Amino acid sequence: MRGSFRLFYIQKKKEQQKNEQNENKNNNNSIDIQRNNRSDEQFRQIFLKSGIVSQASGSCYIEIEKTKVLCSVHGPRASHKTEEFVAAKFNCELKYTTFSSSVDKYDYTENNKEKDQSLIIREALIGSVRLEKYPKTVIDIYILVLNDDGNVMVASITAASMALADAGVEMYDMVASCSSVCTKDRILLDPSYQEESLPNTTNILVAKMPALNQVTQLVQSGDLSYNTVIEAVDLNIDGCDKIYSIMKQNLIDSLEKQLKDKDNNNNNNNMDIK
Amino acid sequence: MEAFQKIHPLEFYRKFLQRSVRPDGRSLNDIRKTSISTGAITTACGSSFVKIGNTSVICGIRSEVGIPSFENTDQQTNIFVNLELGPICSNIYSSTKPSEQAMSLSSKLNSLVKRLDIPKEDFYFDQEGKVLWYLYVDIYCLDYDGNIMDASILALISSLKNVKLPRGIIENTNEYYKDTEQLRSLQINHYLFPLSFSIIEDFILSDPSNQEEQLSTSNLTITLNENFEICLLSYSGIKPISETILQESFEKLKNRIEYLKSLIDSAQEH
Amino acid sequence: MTNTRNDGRLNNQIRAFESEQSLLNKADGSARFTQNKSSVLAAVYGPIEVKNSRKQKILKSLIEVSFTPSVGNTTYLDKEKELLIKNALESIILTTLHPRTQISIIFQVFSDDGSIISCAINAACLALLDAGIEMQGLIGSVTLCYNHDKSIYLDPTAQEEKECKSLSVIAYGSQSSQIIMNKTEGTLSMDLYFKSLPLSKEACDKVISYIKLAVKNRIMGTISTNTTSTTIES
Repeated sequence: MRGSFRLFYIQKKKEQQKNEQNENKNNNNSIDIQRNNRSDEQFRQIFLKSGIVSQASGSCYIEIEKTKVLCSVHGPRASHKTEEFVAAKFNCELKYTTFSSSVDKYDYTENNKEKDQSLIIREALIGSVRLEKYPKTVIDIYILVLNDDGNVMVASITAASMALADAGVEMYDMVASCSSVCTKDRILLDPSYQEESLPNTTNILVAKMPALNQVTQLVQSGDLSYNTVIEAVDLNIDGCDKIYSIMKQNLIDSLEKQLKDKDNNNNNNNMDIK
Repeated sequence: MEAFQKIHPLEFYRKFLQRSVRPDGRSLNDIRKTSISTGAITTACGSSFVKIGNTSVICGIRSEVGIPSFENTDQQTNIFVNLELGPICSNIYSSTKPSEQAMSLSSKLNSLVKRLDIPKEDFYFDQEGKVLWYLYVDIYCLDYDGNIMDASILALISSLKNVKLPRGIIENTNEYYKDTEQLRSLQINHYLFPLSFSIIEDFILSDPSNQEEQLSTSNLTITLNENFEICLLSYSGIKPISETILQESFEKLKNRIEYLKSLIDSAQEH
Repeated sequence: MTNTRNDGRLNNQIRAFESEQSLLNKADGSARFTQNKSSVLAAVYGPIEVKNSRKQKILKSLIEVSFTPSVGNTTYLDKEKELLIKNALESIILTTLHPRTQISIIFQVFSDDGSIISCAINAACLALLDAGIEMQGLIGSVTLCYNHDKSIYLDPTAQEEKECKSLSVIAYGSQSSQIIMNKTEGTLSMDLYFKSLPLSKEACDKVISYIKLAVKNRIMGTISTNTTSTTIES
């Protein structure tokens, strides 16, 4: 039914032609990307809201400008299997919606990326949860990426940690995370989709529990000199602390709101159709 | 009281329904607060977010370009709808295989899309229609608190109204380009107005919540277009239904049509 | 009423019924229901132990329906048919008599020439009777298609289903004049819909009386029953 051809943006073609002309003038291979309204070390605006899925034990929705991720936690709940657990079983599943990225063809078979990322998120979070408190139960985390504009991992880990806190699961601390893209001479914090898909770059992800000052996950993909790695990790750790303060503030706010709602338990949201 | 609700949910509901009120404070005909917004997903060519009470769905449309095969062209559709009820929305769904409910709803939605009468020319990538746009509509349930049918139908129609297709350019016969600076929308000739009911014993409840659906003996979904013509009517359940109840249900939906229409239209304005 | 359809039938004429019961040895009950080129075999197993213990119901028996088309794999369209048939049959089977059990009903389509859901429900009714499952009453189903010129065809063929404006599958029980199951799709004015209900009721009554005849024959010893096509006067 489908012919074999590829679809391109006409804007990209024009850009390419322009680039080719430029390249002829000076053969400079450095990747140049301009950030419009923020510096290299500046975050995009973060919006957090927890407790929005009524059917889940805990949930959180996060927006990092255009990146939108929803996470819900089910559990601790009884396991269907009759295996004996010393501690709770901890599952994590990340899924992209078919329309989350702007690629022209969605490949339904490709979910290695989802599996890899699920695993990284699971490892980042598992250290923070007191699983031994819930023997013979399962804690399931489900993450749905609605819109991917870069930094999905940070959004997912943050949302999952907030959702766990919303579900009332006992934790040592919430996990905050931060990632950056390193080009040859620059470190770009909180990368957008465009920045993430640049060629010859290295991605660094750090997740940590700021209250204990412990790192729970560190992922580097790509090659980088020792000094740059140290610099990037330091930068990311600072970023984690910034995100942590947002998470903490949000948790307090949502708790206050819950208490207030309990006090005046009116719902006049309903509409009469008569 | 909470314990009573958990142990004897039906008895609990009966006590409320006999006084013509539901545990969440609604009367039997009340519909939860409904809101529609569009265009939240920037990576999709059309999207919408619908919330009915706690139930929320997000719908995104992906566009692909394809060359149609010339066999049975009159049977071909350019829009494929899929509803996903994943574990994210409720713990009753698993992630491994799609539930029967989701499949049945998807099939109903696919039949409803044909009722919109979108002209074939709207899907043309080029001028003659040798290359066509194909739209994949994926509806994800984010929070399942009953009445998913109404939410997905509203999401479907508002996201299709939100679709912006770029202009197609073909160069050298097999180089395809899309121009995102020149966008056009689809011409949709009809509306779809849904309303679902659950029947618990002899009480007919509009816009059922999750628990009401589980206690119900029968479920009824009706969808009308703006000319009050039936687009979909589905009734199934343990108890039979009389003609008068059907007629009453139609009247209830008719009264809601104006409101739904303004809701769908105003969602497009942003 | 003079204009005829492609196969020479009148608008309100149902194709001839044919049926055969107890044709499978292994199944507790089985029946084949045929209307010209539409033919469905239904097999009933039950009440048996619940295969998937998680699905077990404490107060009633679980009804499981699986629907296999004549060609190809089952798709989501078949799943929808399964759910429709399941809901229709659940309302007539006395499920509370056998708690913690399962009743499986399996359909195999021999050939599909329209009205296949109705055919399957009618076949299931005969098979359930054959298996001796306790029921509240009988169920009869019929398909109607509404054309662009506002005429109504009873029991449409596949060709007519494809060309029509809207399609309605409806099932009535023998114990009351109320609708057990209905699925209507396509654009259809409400007046016409309500006008057609008495017609469908009449047609379902004909189906039910045929089922009664078939069961009578079965008890007398003949496993197959044939009738000529019937016209419904409304």
